[in-house]
Amino acid sequence: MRGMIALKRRRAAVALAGVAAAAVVGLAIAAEPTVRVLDAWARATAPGAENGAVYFKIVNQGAADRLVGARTQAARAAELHASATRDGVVEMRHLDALPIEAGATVELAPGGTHVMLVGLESRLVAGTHLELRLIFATAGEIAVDVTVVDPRGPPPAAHEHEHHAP
Amino acid sequence: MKGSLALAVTLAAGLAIGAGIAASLAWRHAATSSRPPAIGGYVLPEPRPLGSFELVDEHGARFAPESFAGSWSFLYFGYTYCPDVCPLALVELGEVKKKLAERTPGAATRFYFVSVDPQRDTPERLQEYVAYFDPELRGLTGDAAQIAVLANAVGAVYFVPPGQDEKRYLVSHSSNIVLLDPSGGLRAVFTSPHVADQVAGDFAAIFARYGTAPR
Repeated sequence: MRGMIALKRRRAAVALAGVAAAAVVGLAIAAEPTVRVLDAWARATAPGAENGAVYFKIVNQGAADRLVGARTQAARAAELHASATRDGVVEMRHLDALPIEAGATVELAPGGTHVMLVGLESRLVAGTHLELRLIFATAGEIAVDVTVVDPRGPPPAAHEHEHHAP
Repeated sequence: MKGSLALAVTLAAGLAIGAGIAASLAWRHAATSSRPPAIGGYVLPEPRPLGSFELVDEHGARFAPESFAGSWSFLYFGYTYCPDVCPLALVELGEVKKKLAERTPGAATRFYFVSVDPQRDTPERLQEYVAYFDPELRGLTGDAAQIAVLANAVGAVYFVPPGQDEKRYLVSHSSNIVLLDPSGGLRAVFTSPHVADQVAGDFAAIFARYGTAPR
């Protein structure tokens, strides 16, 4: 009987090791991100402003995905919005989802699509950072470090890259 | 004989056509120079009075149409809860101000942020808000109906799209920069998107054309 139990234990251990190995392989695959979020920045806000906006670049090296939401500790809510000019009037539209085509790079920029921070917990001060978690339909949740940039100063570093000739 | 007559007719016709072209060019030249300069937007040939209204500035002081007199006034209509387009435009307007200090130092200018959301944009809130963009940027707010008089006079459009939260609503609005001349009348509208260089250049053209005209 003892032998049988020992054997069972050994089998269980082997099985567990197998599961662990599979998990490690799984993690390794998961660690190879197909959706990346780059150059995230938010405009520093004026005193009295209750809302802010975050901009970034999404690079998708995998299959088509969708950005479906965002959350942050920095504001009451983080919503996907698009500013669009229609017949000379700027309208902000709430987006349920932003499609990211396979292999596409989607840039969120001032005057267009952005994540609106609704009801800021405190003013966004240039030079500070905030964490934004973006929720993708397939890629899941991606934590993004957002740099707060003074809108009156030079454009964010992300733009500088483009000016450096090789 | 026939040949020389034909030549004479041809020559005469040619001269007539040539004279016609010259005359039309001269006429076109004259017409062009009496027209307002072409800008990224539109210029009114004559300034148009704004009518009467009464607003308050960022200090809560009364602001009447005649308060605009004496300077070229740049107006942007927006609201402090606007997260994307308004800060973008106000930063650009700040750039315009810097550029004009160099390009048209002889022009007295003032810059205003006019609230299209007076329910939330109190003078106190405006005061903190405008000072952040430029210490000389002024804020105007007040009674909604009074703001509408000014907005209508300069062609600014805004509305609150229905179906929104009572406190967290967004306002749709035109994003133009309005220019009043020193008489306080509407002179030009710079349409969006705004690039400081273009707006400054356009203003320089307007100022060169109308800035020194006897009034």
